[in-house]
Amino acid sequence: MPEMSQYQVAKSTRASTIALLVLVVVIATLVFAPAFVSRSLLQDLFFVLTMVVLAQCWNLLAGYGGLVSIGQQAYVGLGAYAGFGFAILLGVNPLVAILAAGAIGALLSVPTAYIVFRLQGAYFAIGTWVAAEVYRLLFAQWKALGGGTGTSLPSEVARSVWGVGWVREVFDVKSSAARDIISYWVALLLAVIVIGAIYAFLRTRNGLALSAIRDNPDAAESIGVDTSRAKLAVYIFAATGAALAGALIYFQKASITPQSAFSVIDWTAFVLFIVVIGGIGTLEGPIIGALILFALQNWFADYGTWYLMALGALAIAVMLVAPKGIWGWVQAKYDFSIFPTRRRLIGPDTPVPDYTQPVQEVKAPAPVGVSGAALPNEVTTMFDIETDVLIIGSGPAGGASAALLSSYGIPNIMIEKYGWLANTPRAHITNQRTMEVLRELGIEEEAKEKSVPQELMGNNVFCTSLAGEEIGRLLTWGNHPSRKADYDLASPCRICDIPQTLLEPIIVGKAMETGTVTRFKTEYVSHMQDAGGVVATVRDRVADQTYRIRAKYMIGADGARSIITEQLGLPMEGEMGLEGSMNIEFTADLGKYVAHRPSVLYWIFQPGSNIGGIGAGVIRMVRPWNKWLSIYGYDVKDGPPDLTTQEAADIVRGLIGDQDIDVSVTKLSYWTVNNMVASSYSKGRVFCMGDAVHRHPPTNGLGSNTSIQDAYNLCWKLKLVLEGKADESLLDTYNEERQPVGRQIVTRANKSIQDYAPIFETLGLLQPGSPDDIKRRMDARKEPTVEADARRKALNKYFRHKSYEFNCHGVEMGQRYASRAVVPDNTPEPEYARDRELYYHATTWPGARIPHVWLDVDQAKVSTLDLAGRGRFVLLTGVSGAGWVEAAARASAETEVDVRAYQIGPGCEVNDTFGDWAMQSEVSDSGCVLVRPDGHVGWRAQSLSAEPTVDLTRVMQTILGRR
Amino acid sequence: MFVLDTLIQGILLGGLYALFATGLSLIFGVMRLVNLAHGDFMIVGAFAVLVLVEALGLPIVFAAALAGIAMFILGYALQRLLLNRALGKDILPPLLVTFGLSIILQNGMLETFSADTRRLSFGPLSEASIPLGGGLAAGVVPVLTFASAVLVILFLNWLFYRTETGRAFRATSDNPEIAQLMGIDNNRIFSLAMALALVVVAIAGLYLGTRATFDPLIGPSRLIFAFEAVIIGGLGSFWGTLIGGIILGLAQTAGAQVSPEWQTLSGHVVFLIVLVLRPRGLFPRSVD
Repeated sequence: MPEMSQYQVAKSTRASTIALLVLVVVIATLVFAPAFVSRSLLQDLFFVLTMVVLAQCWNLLAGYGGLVSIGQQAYVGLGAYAGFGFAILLGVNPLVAILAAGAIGALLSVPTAYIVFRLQGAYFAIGTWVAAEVYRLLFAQWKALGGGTGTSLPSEVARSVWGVGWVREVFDVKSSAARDIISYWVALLLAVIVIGAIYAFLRTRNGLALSAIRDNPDAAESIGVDTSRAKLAVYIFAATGAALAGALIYFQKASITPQSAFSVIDWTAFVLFIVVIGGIGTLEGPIIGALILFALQNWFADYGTWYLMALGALAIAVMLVAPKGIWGWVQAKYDFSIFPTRRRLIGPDTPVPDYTQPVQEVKAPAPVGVSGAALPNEVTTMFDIETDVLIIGSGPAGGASAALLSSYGIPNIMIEKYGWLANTPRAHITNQRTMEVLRELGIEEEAKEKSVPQELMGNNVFCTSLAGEEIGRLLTWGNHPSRKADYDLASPCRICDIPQTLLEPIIVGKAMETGTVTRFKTEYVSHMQDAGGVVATVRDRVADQTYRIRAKYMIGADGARSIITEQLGLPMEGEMGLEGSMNIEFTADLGKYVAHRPSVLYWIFQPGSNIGGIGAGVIRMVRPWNKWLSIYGYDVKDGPPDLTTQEAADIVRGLIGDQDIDVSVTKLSYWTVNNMVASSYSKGRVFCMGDAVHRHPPTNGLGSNTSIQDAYNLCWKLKLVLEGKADESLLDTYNEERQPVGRQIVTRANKSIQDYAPIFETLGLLQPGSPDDIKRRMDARKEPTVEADARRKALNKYFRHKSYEFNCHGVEMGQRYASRAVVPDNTPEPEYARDRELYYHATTWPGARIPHVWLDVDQAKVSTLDLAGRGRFVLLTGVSGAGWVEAAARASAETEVDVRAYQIGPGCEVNDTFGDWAMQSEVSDSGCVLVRPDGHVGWRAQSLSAEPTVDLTRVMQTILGRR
Repeated sequence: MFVLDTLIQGILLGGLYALFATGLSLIFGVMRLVNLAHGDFMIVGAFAVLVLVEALGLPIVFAAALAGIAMFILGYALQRLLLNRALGKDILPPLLVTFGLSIILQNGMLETFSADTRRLSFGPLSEASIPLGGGLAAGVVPVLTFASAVLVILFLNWLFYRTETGRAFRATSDNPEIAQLMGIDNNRIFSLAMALALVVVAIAGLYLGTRATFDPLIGPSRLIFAFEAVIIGGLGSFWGTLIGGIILGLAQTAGAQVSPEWQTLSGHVVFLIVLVLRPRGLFPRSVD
């Protein structure tokens, strides 16, 4: 048969060889991508790669194996839960746990196949779905991993991923970014292996057998092709791939619920969509489909239900019109394949293969549900509750929201996971702006009674230990005489210190007294949004019952470990877990060390106290002068040290510098320094606030204060929209106004930590050495030398610089908003005469908070801020401003929004006895200043205009978003 | 007594599941199509009744009749314009088209009706029950549901085995090509079958809405119940589907006695057991 040698079987084409080379370059580029792409792009690539893996597995099943499964979410969920189980319960390193999860997926796919393979065709499809439901219901019973509400990955597990240290060094990134890089590499490796394995398999005998039976079952059977074993192999392979991907995806997400891990939408519907659009029965199709889905999701996912309906329609259209998808079309047109799996007979008369491999007809897919949605419908006997605003979390942000909404008469329900409010002192510095909100709520006096007043807050001591040498002292929180005036002039309220344990009950008490329904021991599970509102599924932890709450809007104030921000997919910038820190609460009578220098904070500079934590060792007064809290750092790379009470007491004694003092440690907790802010605070009808969207260390004391201001900004807007008086677009200004503040304070608080390093440096505490060496270096500044004098000057400078943490009046009081809810008066923004962070600059420039001055109403001292607030707009004008008063009445009638006008001056209802308003109003006697319900200026006019009613109505309509 | 009560409630619940399943069974029998949007169409039916009752103030029985007519037209049009184009040798196109439909229906209803849970009411009948002696009682609505299921199955059996149309259904089911040669317009027969199935779906939707609450997204879980009832009973027999529904209803009612979380799960488990022991279901049609 010599002539036969003219023929040969070709497994590749020249084009495919070139394509293969290109592919190698692409993969190499992807491997080195972490060196030159941004972190967010890397996270996007991670998403695409994991979807490619899932799509390839499903494509192998359905496109090649003819096994149309709609239950692959079973293996994603299994893998994810197995991974969490191995890592959390057995302490296996996450990278190994992923492999183990893959093995579990493979193992469980065999008995599953035994059952579902009894069904054919379409019934097989639903059978796999039932199997996935069974797994979901079973895992919802696994209490060790959180049962129906799921669980989060403990940060020490996340930290333990191998290679984080190495990646940190090589790429010079933070540990959380390093984990992203490792996850990305694992995803890339998984994608390459899965594609490679499928490609190799399809070119084997079994693979060809599968293709044969897919293309023509009768012909294949007649020549003796048996595919039952190949089908089982394909099923097991696809299960393993999905389980590996599932484990990887959920380690990256770091939290899991049965609803999300076994979601038919996320892990099957979207996957079907990818494969059908890209081209079923090809290896290239799923890759193209994943990129297309990613693009669509980025552009259109905000359209919610409409987006999903369009996806469903697109899938149907592709299926009916171009059943082979995009790559099928390319192949038919150009006969080109990157991964050729066909064997073609090449002979003298067949220079170009003229038959193309029949590709299996058709496919269509599609997704259901809406973003953040679980399908909370197992037992139909649930009871539902309705309200206007649902608030998740009762901390400062949630509590203040509840109290404010109730004060405005807006029905609201607040749920709290635990049985009571804050159980540790946490936030304590309560600045003037916060006190102004409490003043409006009528709880300023109550808070003051329980607080430590400004006079006792401010001897900020820098020392080697409480009993040891005092290196320097800074008068803080407005206690320096030159700053005292700044603080007193800025506000009707005083700054004070009140621990969160005492403040929260006051706020929540007020909220409940005025109408808020609070449900303790009630945990948020999931939510979905529709055109009319939000339906949240929550779990009563006492009765272990799940029920639903329907609200028109939801506030996500669920703290730094927010589930809501994650479910919404709010983009987060920055890092978590930068430094390790511990709070040691203790009781001890320290009166003899502090009586002559009362303060809330004492900073301890000792060898080792610069490690981790918030820059230095801290002893913080909780209650004068016997309840205290020490903040001490640990190396975040080593994880929390798990100290005994005895060891903690030793640390405290070291900081006090008195080994004999009676110290009783009452509580020990660990936390990390975070530097993270959401670049968007809201999505649809869900608004997030507080630590959920800005996560930062306690330096500057801005956390709780900022949270309460978030609430103060949002709640009046919700009120007006709910009352139908403002357009929904007013709510967008919440993000526009508050997000920049969040970004600013997160940066500020982290910068304050770094400002401690030069002090340690100058004291010579950073170099190693015996205690004597260190003592000698610290004493070096006491010499009468030029060098020592330079040291003294440097220290002085660094200590003074700490005013940016402790006297940061501008950041506390001076926020100026720019958004559509502020109407400019076309005057330039006033200059900052002094440092804008340290000093508050009063102005009535639109967007700024209305300056405080004392006025006289019937012999009573009333602040400008007292005139404003309580959910209404206020217009302040002078003796010649009667035209504005009439305009306000008309604008009120026109917009149905209360605009209360006050003329200020002699003979008016409000008298400017001190003449301060005249000095500070920045408008003429006939001008006006319009103040929003949150005390910020919405607009102002220099003088009475020609048509005050027209102007004011226009301004009000603009602010309300009705123009 | 407690066991007896569980038994009665379970059987009556089975009537509801049989109603869910009959439409699915009918479609599969005639055209070998598994409609993944079946559950969502039941919810569409329930909403149709709700809208007619609330917007036009019609009595619920009248509203249900109108909804049935509307669903008949919808089913005919759907099959004629969309599904017939997807039918063929390959099982994938109809599966994926109906999956796409399911998503469109769910999100369309979500957009139109919001995610609120709703309920239909028979007025005073809703709460009424029939005493059975010995402290036992059966709700009027569950009994009505069960009776409707039996009536629907009686009607379908009569239609399939006693009428000209039924003969065309059976002929198309057995061999579509030959049936066509004999002058049967398959497309018309399929459209008629889908139209009929959606009428049954509307009836199922009516009882689904009166026996429990519903919302736009619960369709898929109800599809699974329907599917389980069909498989347990055995393909191709309407009476088998009724028995399948009853077994599923009993399993769920018994499971719910253990814990509410076990209601759905025990139904699934019984389904899997049947699948392992009798892969063709309990009462398969002898020749299929």
